[in-house]
Amino acid sequence: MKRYRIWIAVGLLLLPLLARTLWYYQGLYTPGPVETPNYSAVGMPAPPLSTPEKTVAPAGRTPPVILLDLLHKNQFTLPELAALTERLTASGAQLEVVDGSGRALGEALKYAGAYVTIAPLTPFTAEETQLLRHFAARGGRLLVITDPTRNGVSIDWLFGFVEGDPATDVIAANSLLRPFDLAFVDDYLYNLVENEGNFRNVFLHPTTENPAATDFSTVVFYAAHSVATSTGTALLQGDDNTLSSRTDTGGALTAAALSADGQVLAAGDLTFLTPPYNQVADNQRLIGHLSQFLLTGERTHDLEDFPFLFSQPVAVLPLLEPFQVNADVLKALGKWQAALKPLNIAVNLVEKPQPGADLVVLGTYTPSEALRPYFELFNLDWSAKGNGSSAAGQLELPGFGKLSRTNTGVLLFKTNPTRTTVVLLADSPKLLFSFLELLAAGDLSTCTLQGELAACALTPASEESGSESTPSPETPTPSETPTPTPTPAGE
Amino acid sequence: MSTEHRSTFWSQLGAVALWGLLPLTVGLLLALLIPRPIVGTITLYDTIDYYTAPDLIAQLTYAREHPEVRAVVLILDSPGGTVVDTEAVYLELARLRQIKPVVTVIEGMAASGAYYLAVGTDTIYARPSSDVGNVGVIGILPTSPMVFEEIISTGPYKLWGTPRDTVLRQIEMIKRTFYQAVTLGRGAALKAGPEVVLSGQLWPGSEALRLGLVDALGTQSQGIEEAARRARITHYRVADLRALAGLTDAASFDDFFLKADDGSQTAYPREPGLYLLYIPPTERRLP
Repeated sequence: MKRYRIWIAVGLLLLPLLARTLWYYQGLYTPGPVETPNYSAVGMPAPPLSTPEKTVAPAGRTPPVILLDLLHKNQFTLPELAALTERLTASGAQLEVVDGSGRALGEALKYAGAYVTIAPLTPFTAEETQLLRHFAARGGRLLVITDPTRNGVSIDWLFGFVEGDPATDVIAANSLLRPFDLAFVDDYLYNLVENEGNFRNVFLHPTTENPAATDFSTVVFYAAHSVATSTGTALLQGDDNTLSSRTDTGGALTAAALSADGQVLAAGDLTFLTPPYNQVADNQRLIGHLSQFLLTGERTHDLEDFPFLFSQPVAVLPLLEPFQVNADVLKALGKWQAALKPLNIAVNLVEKPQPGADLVVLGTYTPSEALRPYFELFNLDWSAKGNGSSAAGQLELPGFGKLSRTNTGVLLFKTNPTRTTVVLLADSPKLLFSFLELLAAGDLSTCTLQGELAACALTPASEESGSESTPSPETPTPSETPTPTPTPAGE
Repeated sequence: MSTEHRSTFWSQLGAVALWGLLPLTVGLLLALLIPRPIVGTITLYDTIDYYTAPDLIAQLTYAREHPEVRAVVLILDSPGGTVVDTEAVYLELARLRQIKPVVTVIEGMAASGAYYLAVGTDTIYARPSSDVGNVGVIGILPTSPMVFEEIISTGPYKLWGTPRDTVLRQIEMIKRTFYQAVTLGRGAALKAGPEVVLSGQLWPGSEALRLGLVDALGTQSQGIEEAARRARITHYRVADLRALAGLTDAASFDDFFLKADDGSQTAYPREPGLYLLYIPPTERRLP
């Protein structure tokens, strides 16, 4: 009986507890596995590094002058290019900045071997495009680099957050590239599957058409525009997972391409040139190939490049009887020395042609045996009986017909792998040195060019009223102007 | 009634009181000690930063240490925040989930770091038009190291903290752990691959459901019911854990975001650094 009561008491005691428990709780919570990332196992992705290789100057070539464009609000600093410029200068090339403070672009292109423009924001003018197109047509190399991160915007976290208005370098670069069937796309490449530390750092591989394909396998571009071309050669491409930000699609997107004539190289990234990214993967080799591209242009010169036709010391050979060094001679030679100084080309007066030197031959219209070999170079017969006869105050020049010999200078130009030869002829020594001065200034505006020949209007030095300037081309007197005959030469 | 009968009556009544009413009363009194279960709510209508994160952690700690809190509902409308603060809250969530269920309800937005927190919970609800995702990291590279005549330090990065390139790689490392958190948290429910998830997109709740970034479209009340169901409780009450934890209102936005010259608040953090943060497009947005 007592035990019965105890059980009832216990039951009554537990009943409210049970009832309340069951009222609120229908069971026990059994948590599932709670997993968190293995933070200690996820490290920072390390880039594949490479070691630099020395660029070797191409044998048998005079290292060119390479122009760096700073005329178009270019979004880079020169130290950023050290990885490239150090290779170029180590190979003997000279770097010259075109920023408007020195020679005009047209002048500089006369002697340059390559032109580099990086992240330009202001478009190239029609005149600049024409000059550079002509430059490339004569063997000059153009390197055009853009970069989607070089957009004219900087971020200042202390005094504001965005400075400058966003701009793209694609418009300006394409204004130059259009004639070469190359065009940057206003996008950036990215790869979410395989990248170098960040989705916008894309691995690129040389295409089979790339002449350097056997030399390297993988480079990394750090935010790059893609390049479109229909006739040019794609040099570097991403894999199928490399996408364009413009369409979020991909497949063999090109980040660097070469124009069909091989003279213009367009690359959509600048960062790969800058430390420390120049050391990643095969980027150093790519930079080496870029420097070779700039160094190995087969730049040809014609009379339009005067006075920058020369690639080795210039020997000035006066074939005048009698010849005496006077003020006119010194003045003219001094101007030539000054003109060729930027190219590190010496100008010397000689008595006979020098090996390893270009040649400037000076003569008058008076036939002479000493001049004969040089006329023969141009298939001219300047003897008293030949077509270059100076009889009766007139000259007869192939392609020009009859010209007045008074105040007229004739320039013959020939270049071959060993030597560039220029022959200058005038009616008198005084006019000849006036002619020499005119050419030193690179002013061919009073000249009519025709292939390897040019006829120029000259003003004698004595008529300059003490002025050292060259004759004004704007005000030639009728007697100073060459008078080409209306009929073909020889008729 | 005889005296004997009266005595027996009182004796029986006493026995009933002793063996019946007393245990019952004691039982009732003891039953009152069994707390009514609580579904605690934690609301984050803010960034996850050095002001809000300690508050969140305090609420999570309260929930973990108080047995009457049987489940937690995390209500989010946040663009994310700093990396370290997000990770701190995420790890506290993981501790809590080992003993109590946690359900997320996304109101307006759970972007970046806020979504990081969401994937650390058992179930995610979103509204059809909630902004969900923006998985990734954003940061500003530090200045390139310089040398000053008047400032002496003992190493090249003593003044600058980290090389620029290292920050770039650090961002990638954080992104990878973020993605791990997503895959671990969503498990088989995740339908989208890394190329989609890591694109950094914000998706509306309905699209996020299709991609497996959330479990269901629903409201706060559904989130609370789900939390209670997981905790296996009924007749619960819902309580704000902020109030239970005795927290006062915290200052935030004014200090976290940069102010423009005119005093208006921008969408950019005041201090350079690494963030799990969605920065909405503005007039002067970063490129």
